Amino acid sequence: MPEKFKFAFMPSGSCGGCEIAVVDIDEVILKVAELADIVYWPTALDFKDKDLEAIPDGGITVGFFNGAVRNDHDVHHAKLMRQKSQVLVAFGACAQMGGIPSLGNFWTTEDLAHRMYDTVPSVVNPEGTRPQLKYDVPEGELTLPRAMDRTYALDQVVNVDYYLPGCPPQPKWIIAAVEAVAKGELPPKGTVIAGTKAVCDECPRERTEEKQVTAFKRIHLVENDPKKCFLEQGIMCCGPATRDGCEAACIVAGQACRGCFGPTDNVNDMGAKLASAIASIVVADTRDEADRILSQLDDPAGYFYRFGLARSMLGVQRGELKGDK
Amino acid sequence: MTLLKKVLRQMGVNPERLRLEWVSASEAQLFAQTVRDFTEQIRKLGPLPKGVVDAAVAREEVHA
Amino acid sequence: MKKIEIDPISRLEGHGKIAIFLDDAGDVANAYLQIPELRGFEQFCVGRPVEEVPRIVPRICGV
Repeated sequence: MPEKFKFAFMPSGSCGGCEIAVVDIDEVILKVAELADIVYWPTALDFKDKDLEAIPDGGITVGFFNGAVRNDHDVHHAKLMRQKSQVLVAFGACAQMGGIPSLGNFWTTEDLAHRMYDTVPSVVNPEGTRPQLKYDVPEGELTLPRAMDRTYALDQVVNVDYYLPGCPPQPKWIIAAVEAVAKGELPPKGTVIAGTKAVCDECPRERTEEKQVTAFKRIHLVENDPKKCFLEQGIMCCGPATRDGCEAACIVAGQACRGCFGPTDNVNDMGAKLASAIASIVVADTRDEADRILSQLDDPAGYFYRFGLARSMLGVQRGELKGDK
Repeated sequence: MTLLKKVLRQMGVNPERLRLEWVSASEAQLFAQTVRDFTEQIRKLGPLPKGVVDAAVAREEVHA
Repeated sequence: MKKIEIDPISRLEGHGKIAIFLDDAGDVANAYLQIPELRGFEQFCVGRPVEEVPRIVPRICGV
């Protein structure tokens, strides 16, 4: 009887969606239970930090890390998981490239805290109370982790072996990954476990060969044709530069792609790739005309880096221009 | 360029730090002048605030 | 006083920790719930097109 594998799931700066994705594999979870013991999964079972620390190095066969690295506790967890896992998988868009929380990188951590604790309309905090790293209460001392200067992706902190992209990842690829582990047929290190083309290849909508954009419009100004390519109707879609494998799930549901599967192979900066992909399909006779069409796009950085701002080359708000736009 | 400048602005980088000029190999005078002008422009803007990576995140080569 | 820390709170989405202080008799003198998370949705939705916000905020909680 071969020894069972040991799996661990570490949630970080996450929303829990990735862990629901694991549960979404439905009855296949029974096969996972046959294949592996779960040695750490605080979201599902009663595990604590000390349980993870007690696992010997290499004692986890495959560690799945979901969520972004947002505070120093997350950094500690990332390093622990790397130490203790033979194979470490960045699970979900946050671990792969920062995810939605990395949209916070358009601001400094102080800007985010100022909004959250001082200026958001629903908060009442006249004394400007802030969470403290160390705080004395009559009984003793309380501590909190330190928020980093920005959100980081997992591979900016530790070496990652594989990526399961998506927000959330899809059951079919989670199952594919588990099967690969079961058979001992792991792909080359660094592989993103999903498709190898772009979402446009899986998209059911009709489009011209090159996709031709003649304008960008807000959705309330578009007569939505459910059969026609979003971009050709003037609605921004990240499909051209986003990895496929999702079977164009969002498009099938009537929404344009926002890039949650990350970039295709050999792309360093997804946002830059998207900028160039979008700019290259604009149809215009003059440069001024092209400029005019492109300036109709209301939130380019927000579209191009929706899930992956942490991995952008610029990295974080440089603070030279305050107050946005 | 329009698109890239907008993205830079959103990232808090002054788009005046980016410039695209088409200069052929035989236009030496234009090339020199363009570089001089742009260098001056950047000097006026000063150094870009650095996006320093938090020390706690410094990569260690940690393997199981 | 003796402090017992429960970290993380398990079987829920999100991060939480609890600090329980016990007096000499071993009874609970006080307990504190702490939320060690900061993501900043309230700020980074600012500047996004309004029709995108319903695609961003479900990531507050994926459950």
